[in-house]
Amino acid sequence: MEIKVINKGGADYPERLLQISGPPKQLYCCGDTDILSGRCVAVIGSRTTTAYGRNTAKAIGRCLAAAGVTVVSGMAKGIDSCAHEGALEAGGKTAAVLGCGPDVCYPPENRLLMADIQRRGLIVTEYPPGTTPERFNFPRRNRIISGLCEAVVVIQARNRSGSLITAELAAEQGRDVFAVPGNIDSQYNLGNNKLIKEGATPLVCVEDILEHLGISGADEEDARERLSEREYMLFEILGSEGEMTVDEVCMRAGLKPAYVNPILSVMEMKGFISSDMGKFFVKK
Amino acid sequence: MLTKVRTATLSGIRGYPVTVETDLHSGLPGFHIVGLADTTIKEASRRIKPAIQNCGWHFPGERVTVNLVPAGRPKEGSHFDLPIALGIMLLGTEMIELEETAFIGEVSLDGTINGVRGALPLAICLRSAGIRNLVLPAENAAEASILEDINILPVTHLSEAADYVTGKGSLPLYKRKETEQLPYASTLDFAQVVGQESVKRAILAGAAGNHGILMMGSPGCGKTMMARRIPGILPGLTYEEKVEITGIYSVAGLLSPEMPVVEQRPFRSPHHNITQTGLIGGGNRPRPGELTLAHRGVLFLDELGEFDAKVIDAMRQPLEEGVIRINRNLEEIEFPSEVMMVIASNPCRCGNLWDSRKICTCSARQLESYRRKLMGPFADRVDIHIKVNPVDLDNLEKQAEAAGASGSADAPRAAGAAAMKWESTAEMREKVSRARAVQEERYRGEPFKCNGQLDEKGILRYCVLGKEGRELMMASYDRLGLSMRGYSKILRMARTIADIEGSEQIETEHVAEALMYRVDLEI
Repeated sequence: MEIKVINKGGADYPERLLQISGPPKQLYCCGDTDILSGRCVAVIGSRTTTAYGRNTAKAIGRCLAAAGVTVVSGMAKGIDSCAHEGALEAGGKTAAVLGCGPDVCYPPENRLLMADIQRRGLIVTEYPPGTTPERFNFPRRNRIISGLCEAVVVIQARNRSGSLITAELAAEQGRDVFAVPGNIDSQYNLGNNKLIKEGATPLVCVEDILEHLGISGADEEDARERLSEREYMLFEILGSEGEMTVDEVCMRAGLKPAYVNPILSVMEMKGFISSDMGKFFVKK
Repeated sequence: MLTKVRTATLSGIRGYPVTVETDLHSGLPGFHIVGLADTTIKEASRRIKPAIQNCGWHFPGERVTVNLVPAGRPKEGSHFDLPIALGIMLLGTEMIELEETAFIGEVSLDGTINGVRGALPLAICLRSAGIRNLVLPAENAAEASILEDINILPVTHLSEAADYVTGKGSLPLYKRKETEQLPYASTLDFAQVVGQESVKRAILAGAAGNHGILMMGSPGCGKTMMARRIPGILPGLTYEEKVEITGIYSVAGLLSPEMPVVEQRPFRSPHHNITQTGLIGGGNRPRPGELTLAHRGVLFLDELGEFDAKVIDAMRQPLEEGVIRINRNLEEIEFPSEVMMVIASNPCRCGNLWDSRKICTCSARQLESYRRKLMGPFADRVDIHIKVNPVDLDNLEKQAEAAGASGSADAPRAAGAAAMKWESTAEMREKVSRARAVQEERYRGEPFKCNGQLDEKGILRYCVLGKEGRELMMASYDRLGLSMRGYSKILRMARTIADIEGSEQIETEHVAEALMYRVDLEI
């Protein structure tokens, strides 16, 4: 794959990047550099996540890409990868900003994803080819992620996560910061909830982000139509309670597990609910 | 001058008959035992001489040679003391007909007869060799008396045995005492497990079809508590099974006066620092390991992630074949190992991954390696993956109240969690027995006995889905990215669930419930 070098001051140097303090002197790019000149939104979060975080990252990636927005992220494990995947699934544009050379794949298990992004999107980094991923590269890399975008969405971040650094940089750079609210019991959501407390805009549903960007989203699927009466009853219970164990659902519905199990299972196959760590929740 | 006394020796958990030949001939005084005897038997010469003299008998002052026939097979065990001692004492004495009588027992220096290991398997092989009377230590009488067509003649002292063989006295016939049998330890009842009905349902399904179970959940959520109660819901042991298991425990030396016969399904829970030998058996003179001790019962591996990977790997073949083969210098020994696997594991190394109130300190890499360790060798044996959450009784009660308040027609339990009836061991066992009976009937003449053992051919033949069921399977195949193996597991599980519900046809809801139990290690 050909590596293209863009120098600061060059014609195709992303305009938004010039506005930040300490813009990189040159960018090493692999792929379609044009996608940075359109609308860009960063979708970021922790590497260790729950299924809730991963699903949301994918959904937001899909939603943004379908609306023609470039999804920018860091290609790390967890949220980052899911955001890229979501964008690629929707056939949209996505850019990965690396903390190593453009020819180095980190983490190595994302090899296939990286190839996909190169082919259908863009790999960009300020580090010359061959640079190994050092831990001090990543916080610096984060200023580029936020710098390239008009808004940053933090999906799930633990306390003291690198994503919070990015959000802070984004705020300094004058970018909009969005955060996905999470269950307050869970330490995986501590960071993103804290952002909301500190003034980030909460995303109440996936399409919210489009509304804020002034783009109209797609209609929500009607669960009522595609679910049977029994299924819809449990769907509503789950929707009202957030996440529940099977036993809690049974108790709430007054039904036995032998009866509830198949219904939950079928709804999961239909894609309305999801399970993680032994709990069920409505898929947004 | 030559005498022949019959006895037997152990090879693994089976016995084979041995004849003790004793001969006296002129030469320097001496005592030789030949015929591949091990150290314990060779030492018999030092025990037997004082024992015979202390009984007031004369020990020959000539050359004594004892030969153990067949001479080419290795023999072991202190139970050769009694037949060897009698062989010597009978030299040149009148004796009764001993063609149908065998002797086992260890002799103390004062002539007392001590109990031995493996009395039951020895008795079984002697019975099939045509022995009608078995003289054995009083300690072992209870376990051997489970056999009905052999006369058990317990002895406590060498002189009693000597009186018997010379016709001077007789030995009392041991009568089996019928002990009161509990089908399971009544202190462990599933009714004590509250708020885990969905897990109990999955366990019920596992027990009904003999499927391996993996329970995953945070520390302290009740995994071990439930595992201990699983033997109670399995059907009671048949006579043949009791004899088989008692034989294994006899060889392992685990029988006691309180438990001369194994009446309940075994539950073995080896600690995670167990060695390979301890788990699958072996040693210089092979002894059964935990896998064999759990034969026809439950083998519970708590904290699977803590076990040595090598030890876990060694279990693969025994679990697949239901038998362990160990080769020792001259022979191959087989230990049976048909167990129901129950595995408990934390979701991650530190255990906090699923607990939203605690912080999981595992790195992504650690999570991955933990996951790999969990599944590796057990990918085949585990059909059910249960995610166990800690019980939050308050919350359950609130849910029940909410159900009552909303006036749901399906809420007969709205009286609150405290007043709820939790399914008991007896109820669950009833369902398991019914499902197992259905399977036994269906699989008559097949190589497998229950759904958990169904092979690919069996699945094709017995797990036929309706149109809707097939559609659901196809949808899940796409959505879950099931492997072929995962697909078969779900079909097997669906068969079991249909059997529990008493349905010959596998309905869509049975497939759907089976999907809930799919093995899914996305941590």
